Amino acid sequence: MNDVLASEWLKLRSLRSSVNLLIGPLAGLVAGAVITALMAADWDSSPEMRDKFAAGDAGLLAQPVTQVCLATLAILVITGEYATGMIRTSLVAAPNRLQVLAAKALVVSGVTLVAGQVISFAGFWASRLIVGDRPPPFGFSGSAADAVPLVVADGLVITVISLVALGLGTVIRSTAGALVSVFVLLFVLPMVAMALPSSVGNVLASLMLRNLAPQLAGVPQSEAVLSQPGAVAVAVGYVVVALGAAAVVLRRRDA
Amino acid sequence: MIEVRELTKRYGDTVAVRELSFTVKPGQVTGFLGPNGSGKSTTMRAILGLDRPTSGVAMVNGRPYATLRKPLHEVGALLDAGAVHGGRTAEMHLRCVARSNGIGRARVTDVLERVGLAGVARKRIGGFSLGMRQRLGIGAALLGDPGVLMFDEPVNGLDPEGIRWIRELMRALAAEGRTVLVSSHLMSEMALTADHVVVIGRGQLITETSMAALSEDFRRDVLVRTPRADELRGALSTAGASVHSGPDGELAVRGMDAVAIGDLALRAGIAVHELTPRSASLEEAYMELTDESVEYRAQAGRAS
Repeated sequence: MNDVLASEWLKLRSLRSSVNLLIGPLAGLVAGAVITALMAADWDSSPEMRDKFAAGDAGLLAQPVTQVCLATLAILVITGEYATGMIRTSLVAAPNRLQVLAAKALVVSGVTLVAGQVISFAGFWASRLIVGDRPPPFGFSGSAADAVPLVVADGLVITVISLVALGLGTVIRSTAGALVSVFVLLFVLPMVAMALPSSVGNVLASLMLRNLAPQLAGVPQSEAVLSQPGAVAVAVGYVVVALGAAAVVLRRRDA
Repeated sequence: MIEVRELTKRYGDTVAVRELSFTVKPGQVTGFLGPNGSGKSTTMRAILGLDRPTSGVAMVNGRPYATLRKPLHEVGALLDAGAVHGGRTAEMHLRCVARSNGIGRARVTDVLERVGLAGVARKRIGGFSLGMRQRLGIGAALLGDPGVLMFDEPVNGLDPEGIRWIRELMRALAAEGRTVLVSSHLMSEMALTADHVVVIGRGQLITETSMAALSEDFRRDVLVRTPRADELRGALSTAGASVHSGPDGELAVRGMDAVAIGDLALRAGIAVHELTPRSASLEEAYMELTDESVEYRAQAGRAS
């Protein structure tokens, strides 16, 4: 297993696309920080408009960019092999397919845990530095320590999304197909939930991957439906279903 | 040692391989021959555990491939030179493959040297010619110094120098006592490389034999030149051979071998100027064997 894991890590870091997809979130973070700084300048220069301002948060841009980039990275870990035929070389070298999938999942987990937390914390601190002591809603209320659970949860959701993306990529095998399904999961289904009657829509919305972070962190929110353990169960459920399906098809299918 | 027993592989309604059995022994090059679409690649994929057989088994060194822990040390395979990620360098590709079996960088360097890619080790595979990719695929097969080697159409895309290189490589590997299975749809290629042949058509075994026996089976007739053709012809016919006269007065004799013909001519006191056993070329023999089973045939004369 160690050898297969080392091989998967080598495969990931030897592709230019992996590096580019890790630069993407940094760009999102920088852009988010610039926007936050411009908003802060605007806040200072137009006191009469202040009731129209929402929170100054660099993460608002950095988070979705990171989610999409790292999900794409996770998809390419497997669909890149199917697209090129490398999968056959890989499975001849490592015929235990579950081991190969597990190694890929571990590599994706490792990279996204680090990258997700780095981006999440960097976004938080950047915002805090830029916004300074401007009052809520534009500035932050509470101490930095109070914000930590949500910042960690934001990062964790990136890992959950990436593992779901890896599972979808393994089942679908095509990069485009897997990307479309990840987009549907992340951005289209939440819109559907919003369009539904609130009784059904709120429940559906609470289950959406991008809405999980506050519920995981136990932040009280008006639309939150899930308890903290409930949110953890949903997050784990996503990963188990996606990787479970991936394991079943990878084992059964001819390569 | 590779053993295929009663292997059947169906894809939906199509039967790619039907109850195929054969054994590939060490110490010789075994040619795996068949027309395009006859099931060679499917069989090789089944041996390597990539495709799951519908029924039957394929074993390598007495075990199913999928149960091997570090398979590259036992089996090396080149299935498809395209089965690489073009974004990696040659060296990095081999390192990725090697690492999964605990093989180190020094071996990767050796292998790149052996397959003649040391000069382009740091170049991306995306820019490689088909011939270079074949060499890289062969390099991947050699990484674990395995006792069993399988090559699917390895000479595709190679230039004459490359073809000779791979022929010599395969012969050398077999001479070291390894099991070597090489597929091809070209008999002429196998005639120069293989000691043993497994011929399949439409997924079924046509024949499994040594190269020498195959040419023996397709021995055609004996060419005889003599100044007294009419007399010899009469004598041969009386002795039960069938004789045809050629345009230059030469005789083509069937049903009697060169020794018997020579003895008979001596007894009859007829001088013989030439006595040549003739075989169908291996190419012809192969065409004859697989004629029934060619899957995709150009429809001659239909176009007009």
